Amino acid sequence: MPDGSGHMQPYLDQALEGASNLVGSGVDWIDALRRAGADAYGTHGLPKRRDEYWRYTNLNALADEEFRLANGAPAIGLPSLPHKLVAELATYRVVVVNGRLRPDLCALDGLPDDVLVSGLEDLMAAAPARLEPYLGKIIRLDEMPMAALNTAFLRDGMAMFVGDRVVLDKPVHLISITAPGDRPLMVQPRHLVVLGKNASATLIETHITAEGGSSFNNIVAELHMDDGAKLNHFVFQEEAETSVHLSGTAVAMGADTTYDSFVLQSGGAIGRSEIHAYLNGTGGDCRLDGVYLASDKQVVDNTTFVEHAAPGCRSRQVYKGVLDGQSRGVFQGKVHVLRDAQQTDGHQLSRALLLSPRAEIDARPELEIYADDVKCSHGATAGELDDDSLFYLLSRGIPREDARRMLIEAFLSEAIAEIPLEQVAEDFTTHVRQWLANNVGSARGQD
Amino acid sequence: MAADAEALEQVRTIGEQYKYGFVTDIEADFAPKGLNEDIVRFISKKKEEPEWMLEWRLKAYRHWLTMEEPKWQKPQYPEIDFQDSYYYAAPKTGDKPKSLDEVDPQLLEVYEKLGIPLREQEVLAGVEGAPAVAVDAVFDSVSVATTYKAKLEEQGIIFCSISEAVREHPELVKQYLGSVVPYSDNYYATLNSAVFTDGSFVYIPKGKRCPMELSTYFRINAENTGQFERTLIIADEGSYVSYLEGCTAPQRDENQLHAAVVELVTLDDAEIKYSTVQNWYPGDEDGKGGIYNFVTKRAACRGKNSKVSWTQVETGSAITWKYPSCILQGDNSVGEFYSVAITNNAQLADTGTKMIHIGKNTRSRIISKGISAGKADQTYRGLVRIQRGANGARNYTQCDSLLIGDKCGAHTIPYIESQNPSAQVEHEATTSRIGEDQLFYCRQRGMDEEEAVALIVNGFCKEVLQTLPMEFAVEAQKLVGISLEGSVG
Amino acid sequence: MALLEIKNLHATVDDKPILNGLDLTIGGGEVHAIMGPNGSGKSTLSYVLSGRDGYEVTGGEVLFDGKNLLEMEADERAREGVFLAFQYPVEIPGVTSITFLRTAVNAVRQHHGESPFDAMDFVKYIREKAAGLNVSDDMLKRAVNTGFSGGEKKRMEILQMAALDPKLAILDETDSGLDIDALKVVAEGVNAMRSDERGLLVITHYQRLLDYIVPDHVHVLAKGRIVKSGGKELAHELEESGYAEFLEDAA
Repeated sequence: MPDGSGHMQPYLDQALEGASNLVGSGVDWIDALRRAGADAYGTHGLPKRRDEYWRYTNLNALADEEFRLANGAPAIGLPSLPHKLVAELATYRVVVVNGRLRPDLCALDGLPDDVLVSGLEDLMAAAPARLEPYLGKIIRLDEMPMAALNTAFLRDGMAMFVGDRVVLDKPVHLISITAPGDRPLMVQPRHLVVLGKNASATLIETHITAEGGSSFNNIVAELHMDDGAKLNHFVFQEEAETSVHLSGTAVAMGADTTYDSFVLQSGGAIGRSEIHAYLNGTGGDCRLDGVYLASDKQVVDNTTFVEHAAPGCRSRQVYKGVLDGQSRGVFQGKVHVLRDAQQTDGHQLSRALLLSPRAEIDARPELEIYADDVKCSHGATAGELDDDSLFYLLSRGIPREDARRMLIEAFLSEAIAEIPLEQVAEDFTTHVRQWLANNVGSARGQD
Repeated sequence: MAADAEALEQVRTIGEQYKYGFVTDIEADFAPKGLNEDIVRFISKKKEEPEWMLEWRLKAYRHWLTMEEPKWQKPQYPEIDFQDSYYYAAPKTGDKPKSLDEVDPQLLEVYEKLGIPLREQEVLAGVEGAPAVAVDAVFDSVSVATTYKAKLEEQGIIFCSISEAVREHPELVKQYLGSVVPYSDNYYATLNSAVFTDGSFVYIPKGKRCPMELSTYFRINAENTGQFERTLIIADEGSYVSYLEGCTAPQRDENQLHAAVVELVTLDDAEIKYSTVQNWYPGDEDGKGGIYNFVTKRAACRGKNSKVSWTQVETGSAITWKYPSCILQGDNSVGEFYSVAITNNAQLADTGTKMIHIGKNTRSRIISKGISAGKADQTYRGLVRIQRGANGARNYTQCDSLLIGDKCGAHTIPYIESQNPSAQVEHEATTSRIGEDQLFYCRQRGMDEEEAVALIVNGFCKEVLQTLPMEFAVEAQKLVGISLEGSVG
Repeated sequence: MALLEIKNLHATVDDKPILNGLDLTIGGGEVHAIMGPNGSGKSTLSYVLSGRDGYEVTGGEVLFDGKNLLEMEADERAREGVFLAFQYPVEIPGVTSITFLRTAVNAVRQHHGESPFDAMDFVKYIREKAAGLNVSDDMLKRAVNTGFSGGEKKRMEILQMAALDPKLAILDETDSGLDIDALKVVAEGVNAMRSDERGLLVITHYQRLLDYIVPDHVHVLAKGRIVKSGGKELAHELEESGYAEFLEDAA
């Protein structure tokens, strides 16, 4: 496990130290899974610039400073949430603080029969066999070094099972709070969602940081979708500017499944959303959309891998970002069509607006195609607001700042308009507007 | 459309798969096999080079020893034993002949067979016909003939082999060699810097428009040799040149390495149009033999309003691995990359371009058409970087891939990095296959499947092929058809 | 005091001189037409007056209501009452027409010290204006000009003009791309806006539009200057004789 220079990979010692005292220790497959995570991470280490999918997002901050694993969940109450409509929405609420489920803050009354929402650790203790077919089964540890690290720390998070044909009546709202103390804090939450045949659910995730020092939040979610299942997945990533937020999501899609994901990222010193979607059955429909907003020295990274392994599937991706200050936006998207995945329809679009002369966008849309009967395309653009549109608005008397904000909002609205849940779309729009009010205008005089 | 019909006709009449695969039995001078400082000295001595050139080569060689063979590219290949190859092979004909009459008739025959004009035709004013093309013929490690030299010299244009330029024009070579591709640039460019044997040198003086196409024709003949050619083209202020490059090699079971370096420099208001029709031996259907074509081509658009246009038709080689690039330093400078890459059977290609925008209002345009058939695998890899100061820069990229058959692969990996808000970068890519309806339509009109494919693929590539000089365009269209033989049915 | 006074105006685009000493005075209530061949500087004049970037004034002055127009930003000019109906109205996906209109109208109202419309009041206000122009609620809900037909775009321009109630309206080739029925609707809209205070500057290549929007004065623009002025009959003369003589004269 040494990295060759005789030193332990950062954080590996913390994972190994605690492993034997964790729930699930002594259960063979859980031990093996944690070990496999530690081995894969030990071999790879923290991603570096020479790693193809990390060349634009630098994790030196994690090597320079040692973040310590959170020691339980502090007794904080539920903070007020930034998004009014979603907060008021009737949901099943799951609250995870520092990677540990807080049953006292959850609201799960009235869950339908055949639906289980629980803490991962509780389930690992009570019925590990229920987890065994799913947990750790779709994370490719050798391709996701940070997910491997999370696996080495595997302990708690949310586990959710929706039985065959169950249509969940309300969205599940997973509120994930990082509550740092006075020293750099690390959390390693792990979530698992399993949808049975023709089951249908909506999952909303809100990621926020409580007051405190710096933090490193390394999240992994595994989503299993049996044939005909449908999942709407919305993510608000709004961690503090002192936070490194890395999220790895893997979704295994059976035949005729629909996965619809929308990620809004505006938080974190570094915010990375990495989604691996595996279209394993025919007729799968995968939609990955995102909006990101960055200012100051933020790095916001959206990385996607869509693997078409079965014929007749469709994937659509639209990512749009607005970059101000000295921020950097990263979009890396790969559509991988395997030999047998004929009649694949894959499309990918990345568009970025640069508002400041010191902002940067790095895009790498990638197609890797081994089947000949396919329709695949991607597009990427980067630039500033369109001059003609801006002049048209000015010529109608709309002040420059307002005109800019209107055009930026319009630019983003194309992506937000696709969100099927009205309250989420509204909150996203409100969030964008607030961000623009805070940021655009400070860029005055630069255009 | 006339050109298409002609291409079809030629496709029909050409029987063999690779018609340049013959070997010529010409006695050759070899350097001893293997690579070490003595070989570098041997090459330098053979070329009667000045001390500074040797020093440069040795510096490159020593640096090369510290480097590792790159592994990031998509096509992987067995490790090359650099000691099991000859680094210098020259036809044993004594000194370079002064005129064509002194050239070994056997060599002349080779070029005749390849269809390369080594006889200068009298071009009469007002007489219709193909315009003259000046040719530098490089056979293994040496330039065997350069035509129209005297005529070009009258205008102050220098067109000669690089070996000759090192001796005759040291001030130009010293100033520009390695100024675009430094000796330490990458593994194969560094190797080339140490052991390059021949290649062409072009200098177009201020304000001159080169009156004819310049062309270099590379031929690998000897067994077990690597070819390391080096080309340097300098277009001084306000000048223009169109340069063509062609290449073929015999059919052999072993893999041969071709590691060239091409450097282009344009000063204010100058333009270079560089066209390549690459037809090295691709290996047989099972991937045995063929050339490893690992090439570094880069242009520095140093002057304002300068322009470099790369056009490549890549149909040969077992593995092609190259990214003709433009460093757009001068304000308002323009870089273009037009590419058709065809891989069939077991061929592999990882090719594309880099456009580095540094100057203000720099423009770049990338049109890449990739066709993959058989068991071939092809990657477009391109970088567009807009640096902080490149106000008003523009890039447009279009990459289209066509798959023929269900055993091949096509990959598109663009890297887009923009640091300037006033720059506009636009990238589009598609991957598809030849439509059944198109194929059926052609066949219903009497074409067989291969003809139909050749026709459709030519249409798919048209945007690129039409940027080639006329003489090459027809040749390239033929090649498109030939390269895809056996890919359908 | 005249509404608009252009004195010896010179302007360049990309360092190329386009306007070369243009003089024009428009009083309240007057309709002026500027006609001229392609490349004479007609569109440049409209952009210079409305303050588009890239159109550099190299000499002369423009007074609007006695104020120095050239010192103002594009949006300020609009709020002061200069309206340009674009030859090619710009499509802005993602911004609904109603939002766009309300933002513009409120910016102008606030500029004049009036209170902004709330959403409800604005719908009432704009429906009234829209009715005569055959602009449906559906059009108002769609994104600005996006997917509009040529006629719809021009009607939307005139609706904006009606809603913003400018002192000076510049119509840049408003007839281009319109069939005769669409042209009539647009002309009626414009004529309804004629008043004693408002000035109109109609820029056109063809006389056709002037059959429907009858001008008080007609000017011929060639090589960046007004080379001839007259009454509405001048437009008919031009229809007969073409622009050739002016091109030579100005050369």
